[in-house]
This record gives sequence, C-alpha cells and structure tokens, in this order.
Amino acid sequence: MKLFSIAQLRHYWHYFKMDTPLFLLIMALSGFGLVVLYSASSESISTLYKQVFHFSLAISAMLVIAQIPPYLLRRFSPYLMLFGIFLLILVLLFGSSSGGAQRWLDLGFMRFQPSEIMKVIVPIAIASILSEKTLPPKPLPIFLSIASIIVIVLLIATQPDLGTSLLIGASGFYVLFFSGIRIQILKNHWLNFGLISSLIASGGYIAWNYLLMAYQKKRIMTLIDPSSDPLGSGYHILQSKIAIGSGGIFGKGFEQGSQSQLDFLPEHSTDFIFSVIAEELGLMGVLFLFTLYGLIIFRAFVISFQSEDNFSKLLGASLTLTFFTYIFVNIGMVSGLLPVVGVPLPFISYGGSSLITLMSSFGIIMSIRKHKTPRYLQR
Amino acid sequence: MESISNTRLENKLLSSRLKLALIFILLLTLLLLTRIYNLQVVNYEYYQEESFGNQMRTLPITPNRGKIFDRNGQVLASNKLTYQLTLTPEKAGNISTTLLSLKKTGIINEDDIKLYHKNRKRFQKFHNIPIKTNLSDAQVAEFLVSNQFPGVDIEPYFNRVYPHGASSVHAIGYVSRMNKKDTALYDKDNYSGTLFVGKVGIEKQYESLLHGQTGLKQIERNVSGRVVDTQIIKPAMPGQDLYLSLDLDMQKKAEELLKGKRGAIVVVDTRNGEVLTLVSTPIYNPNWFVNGISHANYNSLQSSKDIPQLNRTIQGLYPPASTIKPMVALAGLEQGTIDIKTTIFDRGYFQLPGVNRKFHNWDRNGHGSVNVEDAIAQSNDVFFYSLANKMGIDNLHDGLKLFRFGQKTGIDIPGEQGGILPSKSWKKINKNEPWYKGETLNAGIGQGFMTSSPLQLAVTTAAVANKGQLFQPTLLKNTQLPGQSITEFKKSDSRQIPINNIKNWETVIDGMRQVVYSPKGTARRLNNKLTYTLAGKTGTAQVFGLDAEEVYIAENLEEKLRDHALFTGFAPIENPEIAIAVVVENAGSGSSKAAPLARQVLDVYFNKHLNNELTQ
Repeated sequence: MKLFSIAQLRHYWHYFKMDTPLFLLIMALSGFGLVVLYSASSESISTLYKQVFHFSLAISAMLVIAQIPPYLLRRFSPYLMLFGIFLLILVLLFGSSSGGAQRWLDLGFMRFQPSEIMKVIVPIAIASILSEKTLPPKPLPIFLSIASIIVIVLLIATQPDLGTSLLIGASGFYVLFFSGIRIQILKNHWLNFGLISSLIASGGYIAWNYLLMAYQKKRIMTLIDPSSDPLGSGYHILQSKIAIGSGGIFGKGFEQGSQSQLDFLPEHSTDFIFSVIAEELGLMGVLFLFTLYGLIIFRAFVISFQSEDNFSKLLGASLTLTFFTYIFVNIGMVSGLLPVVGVPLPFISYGGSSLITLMSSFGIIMSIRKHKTPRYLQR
Repeated sequence: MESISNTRLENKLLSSRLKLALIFILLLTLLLLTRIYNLQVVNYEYYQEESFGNQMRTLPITPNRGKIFDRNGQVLASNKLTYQLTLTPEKAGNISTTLLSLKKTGIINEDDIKLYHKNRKRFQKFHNIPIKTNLSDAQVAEFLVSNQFPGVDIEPYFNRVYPHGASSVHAIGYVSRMNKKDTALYDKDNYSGTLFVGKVGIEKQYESLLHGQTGLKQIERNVSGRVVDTQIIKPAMPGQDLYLSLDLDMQKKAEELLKGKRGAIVVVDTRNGEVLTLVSTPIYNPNWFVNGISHANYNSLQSSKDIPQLNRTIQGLYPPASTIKPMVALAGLEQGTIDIKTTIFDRGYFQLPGVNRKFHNWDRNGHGSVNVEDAIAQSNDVFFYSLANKMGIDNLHDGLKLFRFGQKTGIDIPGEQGGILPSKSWKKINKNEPWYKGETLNAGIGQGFMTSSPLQLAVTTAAVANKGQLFQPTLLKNTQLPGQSITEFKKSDSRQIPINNIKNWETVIDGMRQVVYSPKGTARRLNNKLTYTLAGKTGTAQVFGLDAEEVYIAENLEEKLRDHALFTGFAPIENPEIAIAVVVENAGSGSSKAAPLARQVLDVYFNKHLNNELTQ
C-alpha cells in the first residue's frame, strides 16, 4: 500500500478533524480581511506578507488544536488555569511595559501577552468546573467560577488593561449564563431584577471613582461628546465617524477612502479597520462583513449544541458569544457607541497574537464537532 | 431513568439560554446596524462634507498685478519674484510661541509679529499668512537650512518694484500692505489672497484694472497638512498693464530741474488732454512703502518741512498771479468790457476813486500807454486792475469759471484739489464778510483769495491755445491684458468755451507770443535759439502781503515768504501740441526762475519729435 495513494489520503482525512463549512467561511473572511488590509495599509506589500504569515501560523494552530479531543482540555483545565494565573503574576512582576501598561512577557526571541491565552483558558476552566455535575450548577461550583473569574479580571485590570479584562470576564460569565444559573436573591422576579441592577450600578459607581485610571475615564467621557475635544481622544472617534458616514451606501471605492488614505483615520490597519471597510465599500461592504460573521456564528452555535457533552456545549457556546462580543465591541467603538478600548476586529485587523487566540477558539469548536465524546463522559 | 430526565432538563435549559443568547446577539446587531445606517445613510451628506472638508482646502491664487509703462513703453512699475516667510495658523500648534521662537532666530522682529497679528484677522486659519515679505537670498537660504517650525514656510510671491525709484512717484503712486480701510473698500473674495493695494496715484486710481481677478485652487492635504494634490478650479486673471501718457524722459528732466526745490511742472497735450509730465518735488522713493515703511524713512518723510508726500501738481494751491492774465483778458474781451484796441495809461499804479491806497504795477515806473496785447506781454498790472474794476468781481468770476477755475479738472489720480475762484457769494459763505472792491483788483491779477493748482494752469493754458477747447486731463492712455493687443482707454472729455469773437482769442494768444518774442516781453530770454514757436505767460505770486508802500526785496525776507515763480505756456503757436505750467515755490520772479525750466522741458519734447520727424 502506497503511503500517498488516494485511498490512503482518504484514510488520513478520516482522522483529520476539521469542520469544512466553518473552515471555508473563516478562509473567506480572512481573504476579505487581507484585501481590506491591503488598502488600509496604503498598499503595503510587506504588511500583507506579515499578515499572511500570521494567518498561516494561526490556521496551523487552529488545525492542531482541532485534533485535541475536548475531554483532554477538560481534564487539564485546572493546570491550564494555574499556568495562566502564574503567567499573569509573572507579567505583574517582570513584564515589559509599553505605553504606560505592563502587558507583555519578554521571552527573548518574542514578546508574549499572557492575557491573550487567558481568553481561551478562562472559558475552558469555567466550563470544566460547571459541567462537573448536572446543570444548572450548584452554589459551590458557581462560587468557585465567580471567584476565579474575579481573580483573573483583577490581575489583568491592574496591568492595566481594562478592555481585555472585561472581555475575559465576559467570556467566563457567558459560560455561567449558558449553564443556566439564575441569581435568585428575592422571590419576586421584578424585585430580584431591581436588586441585581442596583448592585451592578453601585459596582459601576465604585469602579468609576476608585478603579478607573484618568485616561480610561477620558475615553469614556469623549465618547459622550467627541467634538468637545477634536484633537484629543475625541478626535479619533470623530474621524472614524466621518470615515464611516462618508462611505454612504456604496462606498468611495477600493483604495479611494480619503479618510484612511490621507491618515485622518487613526490606527486604520488595526483597531479602526472597520471604518476603512465602511468608507471604501459603504453599507454594502458592511452588510457583506456582517453576513460572513453571522454565518460563522450560526455555524459555531450549531456545532456547539449538536455536541454530546455539557462541557463541549458550554465551551463552544461561550467561545461563540465571546467572538460576537469582540465584533460588537470593535464596531461599537469605531462607530462611537462604546469607549475606545483597543479591541481588534476579528479576522480583519492587522496583528498576530489576537489572530492566534481567535483561531485557537475556532480550533476548539472544530474539535467539538469532530470528536466523539468518550462514553463514560456522556450524559 | 434519572439520567435521561436530567439530560432532557439540561437540554431544555441550554436551548432556552441559546435562544436568549441569539436574541441578545440579534438585538446588539440591530443596534450596530441602526448606528451604521444612521451614519452612512441618514447623515451621509453631513459626513461626506466633513470628510471633504478634512482633506480639501480652497485657497486663493493671487493674480499678477498689472505693470505700468510710460507712453514709450518704459517700465514704471513691475513685479519681481521674491520670497516671503509665512505661517499657517492651522498647522502651527501655538502661534505666539512659534512667532517668539522665530524672533529668537533673528529673522523677524517685534514689528513683524504685531503686523502678523493685525493681518491675521483678514485670513482663514488654513491660509499661509505672510510674516515677513521681501526676504533676502541669504535669509531664505539660512532659514531653509534650519527650519523646524511646523506651519512656517518660505514661499515665492511677486513683489512690486518701481525700477526708477523716486521718479514719477506722484503720478504712479505706490502700493502697500492692505489695512483695515482697504479691506472695507475692496471685494473680500477677490482680495482674499492679496497683500498689496494701491494707496495713491495711478496705483490707487486704477486698482481694479491692475489687480486682476483672484483665482481659486483646491489643495488636497493629508493629516499633517502636506499638500498631496493641487487642482486649479478657477485660474487667476492677471491685472491689466497700463500705458500712461507720461513721458519718462520729460519727467526726469523736470525732476532734475526742480531738484532741491519745492515745485511742480505739468505738461499736457493740447490736442487730447493727455498729461505728459506731472512732476512735484521733492520726490520720495515709493519702494519704501511696498513692504511696510521703516520708522526711519517714515519719520524722514513726516518731519520734512518740504512735505514730500504732497502732490503739488494737483494738491498744491498757489495764487496763479499773472499767469491768469490771458484768461482775465479773454473774459473782458468776450464780455465786451474792453476791445482789442482799448488802451489805458499806466503811471505805475492804479487808484480806486476816493481811496488813497495805490495799487502798484510790478514795475513802479509804469509802462505808459498799453493795450491788451502789451498788457499781457509786459504783464502790466495796472491794465488788469482797471479791467477787473470795470468788470466787477461777478463778471470776472463768470468769465474765469468758463475755464473751470475753482473746480477739479477731473484728472485720473485721487486727491485733486480744485482751488478757489472767489466771488461775492463765495466770500459771504466762507468768510462771512462782504466783498471789497480792492479784492476785485487783486483777483484781476490772480492774487488775493484766488488759488489754483499747477495742473489747472496747464489745462487752462491748453484751452487758450486751443481757442476754447478745454480737455479733462488724463494719465491713462492704453491698457493691455497679458497676451492681448493694446487697447485705447476711453478718450478724455472736452468741452468748448463759447466764442464771441475769434479775434479776441487770437489777440490774447498774440499777447502770449509777445511775452516770449517781444523785446519788452517778460520771458523774452526764452526765444534764444528756439527750434519751435512758443507762447507763454510769466507769473510771480506773492506769498506775503506787503504794505502798499513797501518794496519787495527778496533777500530781506525769509525763504518761505518769498514769491513763487510761475510760468505757463504752449507750443507751437500755430498748431499747438503741448501746454506747460511751472511753479517753483519761494523762488522769486517767474521770468527768471520758472520760464527757463519750462523751456528745457519743452526742448526735450521737441527734440524728440523733431528727431522723429527727421528719421521718418
């Protein structure tokens, strides 16, 4: 039997775990992203090459992770969590700082942002804790989950990186949400809702006055009235809104966006790349992007809920919802709905580390699709 | 069994949460789409304009100012490519600190900063507003090497230059920086990029022709303000070149003759009113004003007792003295008060009946029996005292009014003064006093209240030469748009003084001829080697009223109180071409101090024209 005969390749393919529809959708989105990046980076071929390299790295990571059965992740989740917390503490102690924030670990050959891998580790750990017993979870695992989420959020928030810490916190809470927990402090639904709302509000008040840094407050304030400070932080939002608005329905044309091509739009190949799409391709381009995102989210949800164990369901659903959250926060931010928190647009923004994290989570979703859960774990 | 029911329960729970999550996603997606719809569709026009405004700036293209030439095509005013230092407020972070740092480098001083702030109000924040104009090559080179100031640039522009310096300054005038008053005067859009406007003279009079039409260009810039692309929306229309009727050679001759004196020489073409010479001295350098006059220069002009900035040809009002006698004689002849044969006997003075005061002839010996021709030739005062007395002030006024004394000639440069032609009602209004008979006598010899400008004298002399055709004098002869042919500016207006008897005019002209050619003529020294025929009239204007019995001795008087020397004339007598008026302040007698100057200026004209005729 030849090693590379058609039959043999089919045989290998059988063992190769990958969801073809999801893979094709991601490739389509990445291709679209590269085209947009070419324009956004003012036709920089070297930027394009680097991003293609990032993509190959990230896709490899996705395909490798897709081969790891979910139960293995579940089994190793406590170690992953401990390893992650250890890295975050290392960052606090020895991390290299840049722009007033200490977010990176310098490994000598590369700089590494531990908060990135926490985006994957946190949902794995929480899903693992909550799927231990039947759903809805009992108070102890709930308490354990909330405690670990808070620890990680605080560790990242002190770097300081409020945006990332809130997003990671959200990904943990999504697992709690899908697990079906219900915070029932009072019997009456409405009173219960009122109490929880007021708790969140007072939390926000404390955070605003005691936890937020001046620059974070300023970002939130300029969100409310960007034109008040046109050359300060509000300037970016204003220019971004001008870029989006001036695109109209059909856009100014590929590579024709004056806002981005003439540098009025800040960070136009990274965080603000959505504005480039909106300016150059108009509402049509935006709708095309939304359609691709929608199909990916739909496919990922389908995969999650067709899986056979609770761990996979919780993990897949929360990773999908987190993916949507990134999209929402980025577009909300560049269109002036949310404060500027520095979240890249998934699959489109230039950059390697967030891409690898993103592809890793889709690797996990693919692995959920293709791996049969061992019988002893099925419920 | 328990496990199965648990699984069912769990699936129910999970799918309800999934539904919730999907609703959550849909709502937030809807929120995003609403936002983007709002930006891209509802407010599309607003943001489109904002994006356009970000990158595009409309800037004026300053038109090239028209040049000024004399009648022979000699350049009197032109433009020279020079460099200026500009500051664009939008690009410079803090204007005050930028200006202070610039001051430290030594390229500008406190005055430039003050001027910049004053200037700024006229411009938009994206305009490159000049800080300092007319930079030297060394300054440009030095600055370009060390420039680190954002928004500060060196830019080329056309600077106005007057290649002949002070020559003809009173006719041409000068341009200078626009001030508040100018801003109100001119169209804001058309002057949006203009630095200089005409302040006096031709430069001011024909500002609208010289200026041209400001164009518009659109520049596309990136965020740092660098110009990526320039598109001309409307090209600038350059100003028109002006050809004046002035003859630069005659101008220079006149300036040379009046050098060190206060005075004026005006020459007009008797056939069409064109002004060939318009010189007032002292002259001053118009180039001083173009880029803002320095304190030293300004003070030197302001403190000079000679008032260099006074254009004596149109603003200097002098008693016309005896130069008015031909016109007075014409008034008397045409009104029938006297005829060409009327004689009087001059004993050296004239007395009003019943009045002791004697009105002396300039020659106290008296000229004996004189008719009107003799009276003009010898400038006999007693004849004109008698004539004026017979006419009375109102008839005298009416006769002289035909020559437009006391009114502006309407020459095409600003600032003209009309002078005074007195009458009973004039005195009532202005002095609130009745008219005295003695004042009529003074008016008859061009003294007393009567004043006129040198230009008026030249123009009225031309009218006598023309036998009554009185032209409105003009300086602008032709205009030319760059690249097009020269076109004639409008012809000057003229009007005919009504003639009763042409003999009267011929008699007066003959009297003026005798001034030069008669052995008794007051300007008889002029006829030596004349290549053309010349008629004229001398005048000596009293500045200081002497008592009746006092004798005028120049040396006894302060310079400023001495007589003004005057001469008017025209040539050739048969077919007059040009008329001249010369006034030299406090120089003494017209026959010795003014008439020779007139001869030399006329010589320039006729030498040229005779030569032309010979070569043709």
